[in-house]
Amino acid sequence: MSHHLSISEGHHLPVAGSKEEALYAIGARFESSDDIVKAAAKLQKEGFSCYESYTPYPVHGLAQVMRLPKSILSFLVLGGGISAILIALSMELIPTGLIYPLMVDGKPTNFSALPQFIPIVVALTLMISAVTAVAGMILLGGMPLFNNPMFAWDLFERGASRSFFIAIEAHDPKFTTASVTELLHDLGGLDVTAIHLEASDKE
Amino acid sequence: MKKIFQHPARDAKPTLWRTQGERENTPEFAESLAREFTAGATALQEQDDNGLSRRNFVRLMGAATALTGLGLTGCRRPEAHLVPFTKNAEWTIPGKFLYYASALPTPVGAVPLTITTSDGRPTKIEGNPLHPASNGATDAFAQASILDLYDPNRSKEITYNSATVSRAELDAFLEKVRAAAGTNGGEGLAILIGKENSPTVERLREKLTKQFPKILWVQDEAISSKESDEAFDAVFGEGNRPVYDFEKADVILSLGSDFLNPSETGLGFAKGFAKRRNPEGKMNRLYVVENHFSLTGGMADHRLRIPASGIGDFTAALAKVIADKTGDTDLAALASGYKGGGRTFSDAWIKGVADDLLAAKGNGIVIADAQQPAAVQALTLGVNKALGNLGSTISVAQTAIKPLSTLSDLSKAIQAGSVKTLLILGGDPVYSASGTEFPNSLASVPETLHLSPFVDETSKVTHWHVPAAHYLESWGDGRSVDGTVCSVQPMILPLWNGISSIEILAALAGEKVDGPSAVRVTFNTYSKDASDAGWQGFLRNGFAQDTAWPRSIPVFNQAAALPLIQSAETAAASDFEITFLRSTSADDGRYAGNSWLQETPDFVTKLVWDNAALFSPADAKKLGIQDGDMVKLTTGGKSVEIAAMVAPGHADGSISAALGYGRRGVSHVMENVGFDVYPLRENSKLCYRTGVKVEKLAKPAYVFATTQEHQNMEGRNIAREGTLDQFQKQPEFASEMDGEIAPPISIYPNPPLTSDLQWGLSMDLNTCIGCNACIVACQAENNIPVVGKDQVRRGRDMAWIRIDRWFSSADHSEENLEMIPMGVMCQQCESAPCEAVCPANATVHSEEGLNLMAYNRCIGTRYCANNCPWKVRRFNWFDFNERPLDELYYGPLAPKGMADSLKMVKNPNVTVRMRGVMEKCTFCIQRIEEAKIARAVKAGASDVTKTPLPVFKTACQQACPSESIVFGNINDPESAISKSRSISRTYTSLNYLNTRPRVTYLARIRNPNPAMPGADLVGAANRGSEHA
Amino acid sequence: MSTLTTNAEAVTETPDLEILARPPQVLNNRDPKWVTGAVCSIVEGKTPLWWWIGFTIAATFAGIGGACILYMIVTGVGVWGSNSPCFWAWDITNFIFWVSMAHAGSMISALLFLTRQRWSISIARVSEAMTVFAIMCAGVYPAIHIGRVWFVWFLFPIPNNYGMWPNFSSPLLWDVFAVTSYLTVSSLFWFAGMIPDLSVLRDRATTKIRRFCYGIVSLGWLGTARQWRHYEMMYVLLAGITSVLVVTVTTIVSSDCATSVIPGWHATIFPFYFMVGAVYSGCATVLTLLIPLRLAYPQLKELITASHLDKVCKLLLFMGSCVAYVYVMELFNAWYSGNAFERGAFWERFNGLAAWYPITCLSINLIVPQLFWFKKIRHCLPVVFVLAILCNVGMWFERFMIVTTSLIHDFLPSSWHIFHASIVDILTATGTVGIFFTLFLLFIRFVPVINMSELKATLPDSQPGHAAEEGHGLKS
Repeated sequence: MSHHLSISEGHHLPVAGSKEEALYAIGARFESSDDIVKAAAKLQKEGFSCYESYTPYPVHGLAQVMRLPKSILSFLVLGGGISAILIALSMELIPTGLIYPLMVDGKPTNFSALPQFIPIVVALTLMISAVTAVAGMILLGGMPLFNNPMFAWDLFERGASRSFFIAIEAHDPKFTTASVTELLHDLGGLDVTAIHLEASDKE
Repeated sequence: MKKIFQHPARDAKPTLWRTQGERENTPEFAESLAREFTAGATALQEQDDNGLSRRNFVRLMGAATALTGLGLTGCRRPEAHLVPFTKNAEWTIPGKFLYYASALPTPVGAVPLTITTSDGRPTKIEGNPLHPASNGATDAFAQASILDLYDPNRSKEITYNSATVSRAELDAFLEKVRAAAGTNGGEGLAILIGKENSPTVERLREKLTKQFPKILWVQDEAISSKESDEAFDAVFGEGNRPVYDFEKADVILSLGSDFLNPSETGLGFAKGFAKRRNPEGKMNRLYVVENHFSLTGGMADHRLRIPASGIGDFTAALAKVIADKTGDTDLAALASGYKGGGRTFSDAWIKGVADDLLAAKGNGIVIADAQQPAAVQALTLGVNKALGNLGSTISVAQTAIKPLSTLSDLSKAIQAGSVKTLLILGGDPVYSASGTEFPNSLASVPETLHLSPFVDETSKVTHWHVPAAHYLESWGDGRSVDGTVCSVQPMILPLWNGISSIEILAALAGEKVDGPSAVRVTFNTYSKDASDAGWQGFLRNGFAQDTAWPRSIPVFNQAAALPLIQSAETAAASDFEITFLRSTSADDGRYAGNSWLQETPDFVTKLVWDNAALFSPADAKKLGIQDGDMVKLTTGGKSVEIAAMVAPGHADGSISAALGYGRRGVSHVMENVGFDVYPLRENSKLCYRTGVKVEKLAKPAYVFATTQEHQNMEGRNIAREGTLDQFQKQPEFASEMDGEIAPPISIYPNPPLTSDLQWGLSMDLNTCIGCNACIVACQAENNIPVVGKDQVRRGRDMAWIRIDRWFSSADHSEENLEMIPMGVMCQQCESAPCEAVCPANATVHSEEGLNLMAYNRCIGTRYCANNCPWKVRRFNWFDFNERPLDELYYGPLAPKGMADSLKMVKNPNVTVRMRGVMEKCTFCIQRIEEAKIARAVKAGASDVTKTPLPVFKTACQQACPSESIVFGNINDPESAISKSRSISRTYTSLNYLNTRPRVTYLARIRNPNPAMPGADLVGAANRGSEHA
Repeated sequence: MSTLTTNAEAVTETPDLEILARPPQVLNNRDPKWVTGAVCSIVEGKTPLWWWIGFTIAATFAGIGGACILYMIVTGVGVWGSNSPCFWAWDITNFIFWVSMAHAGSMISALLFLTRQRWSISIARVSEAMTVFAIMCAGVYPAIHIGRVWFVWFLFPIPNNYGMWPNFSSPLLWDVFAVTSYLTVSSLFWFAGMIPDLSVLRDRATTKIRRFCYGIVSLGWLGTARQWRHYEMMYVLLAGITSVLVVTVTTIVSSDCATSVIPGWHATIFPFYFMVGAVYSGCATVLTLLIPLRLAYPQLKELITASHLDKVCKLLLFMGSCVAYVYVMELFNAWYSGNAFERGAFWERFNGLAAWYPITCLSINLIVPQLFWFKKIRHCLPVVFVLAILCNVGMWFERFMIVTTSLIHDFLPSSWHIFHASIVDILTATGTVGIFFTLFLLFIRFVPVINMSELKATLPDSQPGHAAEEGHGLKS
């Protein structure tokens, strides 16, 4: 449960999760994509490293200001594709030419009849690359992940599809509850909330 | 496909070995191998060399004679002869075939056969090449007759007033009849027999006549040759029969005679004709005058369509012309003596034929249909005499055939009440003589007995029914066309208590029969060597040496011929006649229960499981008849409802219908199959009846099933033909019809076919008469299932080899219509389109150039069949072998499994295919492999490729009466196939596809007479067609 | 903010060039909140009656189809009308028909994405769904049309005691791989595109059950910048891969015919032939699905605007014209080949046993799409709906014409034989239609029919400094 408090009341932040558990992060909500991009830029300048921004759709430029490197997914897919080609070719040529040689349609069964082996190479390559791409996205994105401290913040829960959030995590070297709360307020963050881990026995 | 282990040449030290012996490759091992695979079982021709079947047979007979007289009850079959496999006789090798000689008795003459038995059951029938009157070929009927043996619908019990009785009671009855005859000399006893040509039946008949002189002997065949017999007896003297030598004939005129049809006139004719049909040598010329397209008509160089009842007029007209030209007064007298229906024909045509026949004086043959009136027969012989053919191309055989009373005599006798006991041995007169008074009169006979394979129409009205033994399960003998006596011996115990007519006659004659004894007694009377050795030779070779009818120069008896001709009653001119054809599937009805034959298409109409009333296109238009329309044919107070079919090339004013159909309540195979036209027939002698009224019925159209729906080549050079001088000017004309096609190059280096054996097959369209023998032979050899009319109608027939029958007409008229039969089986393409597309690799290529089918790998995508340009692949749409044909759509709800007896006919070397797999011709690979095993055995340690392969044939090749199929190793330049492929007429069908088929065709050559009308339109099937 | 800056430069370089206003992506400039509500309400709302009725009908047909397939498997392929020479008929016809239809979906969602066609966003999800379901329907046939279904595993490279291996030169085997990969890729593309939206449903879930289920399928998506970064990369890659598939799969399927020797099949034009026909029928299907969908859920009218449908119609028109061109070229090639069999095949096609297939096919496919030249017709949705259905009928007849009429008039006239469909053929076909609509109705009920996250990203003010005006919602 979190209820909005005025800044003057200092450190008595609304709390998500159970107070008994450790503090996970302090989060704030932002109204527009502009605000969150600005906020992220500021945090980056302040030198925060352990913070995350949550948006309902990809906000252009956010990744840049957060200095996130380009995704390596494309290289994984390239690797997947190339290995697929090798797998397909060996699956076709080695048995057909060497293990189970058969006379079919008076055609040779080796590389000189390569064209007949191409379609399957193409199909397999595309399939395996696609699988690599999706699997890569899921794993690199830290998924599947079925519980996350942020879920304890029901405002986030309900608003994730509409608004923009930033959460600065407690283990950030520059993290102190006071400074972070202050900073988030200054950046125009709303509903600044202390997000605690949930007690293991609670769901 | 059965996995056959073959033995390639073994290296000195093989890398793989089964025994130390093989590893060391010791001679003992080679010998043991030889014992394992006894050589040469493949090859009939090899019998004398490897002596397998002979030696075994002598042993068999040894055992037989030793065991005879061990109190085997009654005149029963020789159990002792036929038990060996249950006792596992030492000379049989499980899985190896044994071959026995026998013969199929037919009204024309016994067909000499070699029976293949495996593990004691006959599985395949081939001709007997040793027999002088046979070239080892058979007709479709002989091939299919083996199925009748195993027909589960055969009658199985002796019945009296349709109550099952014991064999003893029958014997008692026969004893009673004999006793009664003993008292009154056979008064009131009548015996009706078919034309069996069996010396033993003859002997017993004479014996009985001696004992009981008053017995009334009646002989009747559903399709009898009474008319011609009468003429021959009169003109040549009693018992003398003309023998035509087509090998000598340059010019042949057929007057409605289908002499090339092996079932009509015995097998010899097609062979002799084919020998002279080769354009490379001196080619004969064939004129045919007929009312419906027959095989012979299809071969004709010039064909005239006239009603069958007009043949007499034509003959007379021809005779007049010839008489004028030769000034032959005798012939002129004969010609003017004939008062026919006064029909007239194209003078140019008649003159052309006459000139040609005269030009070939002494080297011609004029032959009339055996069912034309005696007067026409006599006239025809007169023409032959005038042409000097008698003595050169036509000789006479002095037979012992004596005329017996006819069915009408019998009917009269019955009506006179002079017949107390009637024994009908064979035939089904109530069905086949339904147009006569016989069926009604039969009821008034106090005691009647009928011997027949089915409880048929006659058996239903006779008091006694006795199941007839199949010729493969009883002892007998029969004279072949040339008179040579053939042995008929049992291959197996009678499956269902069958009894042969010989046994019954012998019982009447008070002769005890122990197996072959009755036949043996007869044998001693005619054989030069009556010793046991001679007898065993008779059984082994299947015929007795030098027992052919003595030949002599025919003496034409003008005095007898003239009155015969004058006695001819005028055929009343009417708008329609009907001609009764011998069915190409049911013969006269005796094979109506044979599903193989029922599913074998008619030669010309390609109709299966049916007969039809054939109308000429003109008549059909006139009457507003289309295929399948029901018509009512009425003549002589009798009428029949039958479905009509438009038959190109049929004579106007004439209707043709095949006999032998429309049988009811006999066997479920015969149910709802065709229409019975016997009621329209007044006797069994004439092939036609005039004064037919046709009435189109307002009934729903009848559905026919045909295996070929499109008759026209659509301008594609599929079957190729040319005329003789075209061929002489341009010997390569056939292959040149390919036109401009891309040079046969392949973007791939094709892997070489490494085996020393490269199989090829060539089919000579010039001698192929389209007689279906190959189709049935293939069906029997390769366990091809029957699918039934409904499935054929849906285009799902399974025949591996089919005969496409093309009609072509250079001027697109009905007049100059030509027929070209073309056998099509898997072409064994070296670069096979079917192989490329099979995802499962179920059809692949062998080192020997065969396109193989791996049934157990086939999943039935059917892509191969789609991609086959010849559409020769067959798919098992249902479980045709395991499910009843009328319950195919019930799926698992239908009873599964085939009749036990039908399992016995299957070839053990060929897989019985299941539902969902593709199948097709593989050049009888089981025979190929058997030959290769034999060769490997013979080679032993030596180089197998240096060893000659035992001679063997594919099933279709072996059956072909005109020897137009040649099969063999194209790698061997000396082989017949290599020679055949080198003939200039050779062409490859669909050559432009560059699939490099192993099947090649020899183009058909016609030999038109330039003087004839429409000569320029002969042999022009491919004229004006596009290339490719 | 690279896109922003590049645009700024572009503008400064050509100041006189006015930027044309795009038609709005969402009418009545709705905000993201509304969009979310509009789309999610379809899933979260009470199941309407018409849905139950439609579902029952579709499921019934699907059931009957399943029964027919079972009957065919236990009885034999003979229960179909196929015969010799027409060994393939409705089975492969339907296979080609469905697998082709699928292509429009991939094209709309992948190719148009890569080419930054923003209008495709709102219809992409439905199109992809259509793709996936169509492939499933297509996949039914290669599996069951064979004679011995229980040996279908022979098609896969599994080491076995036969000492045999699939034949890689067989187009049918190519099909197996092509269709498998197509199904996999398009399903992945579809699912991956759905993850953020599923997480929205998870977050909005009111019941534990829904929350749990959507929680599972959304894989715990949070929408962090890191996730979006990989997500966008994956989306571009998948779009690329799928675009390739759009071309390769029809090409491979068309080789079933093209690599054979049968006149009427054996033609190099086939890949293109199948390709254009595929997108053509696919667009028709998309229209057939969208128009009633908008009717059922009026709020969608603001998201799937008339101009979107108008664009689909134009695509349909273009593809239809390509199809017409192919028809003409096919006939020309046949004549120009000078080959008796080629010419014969086409002559018989229009004069032979089954002339009415091609005539139906041509009269529809040559005329109907051309009607879309007229704006009036394009904007009268009931008419569009009817015409779209007609187009698919025409396409089905085209596939049928290609498969059967070529087979029943092959090389030897002696083997020509007409094809008649059996009741089992027909019910199996309607069965697949049933399967398709069953799946589609389920899709409507349980999955957001519009890609919300992507759509929201393109709304005005959605991006810092209105970057959204630049091309596609997702960076590409």
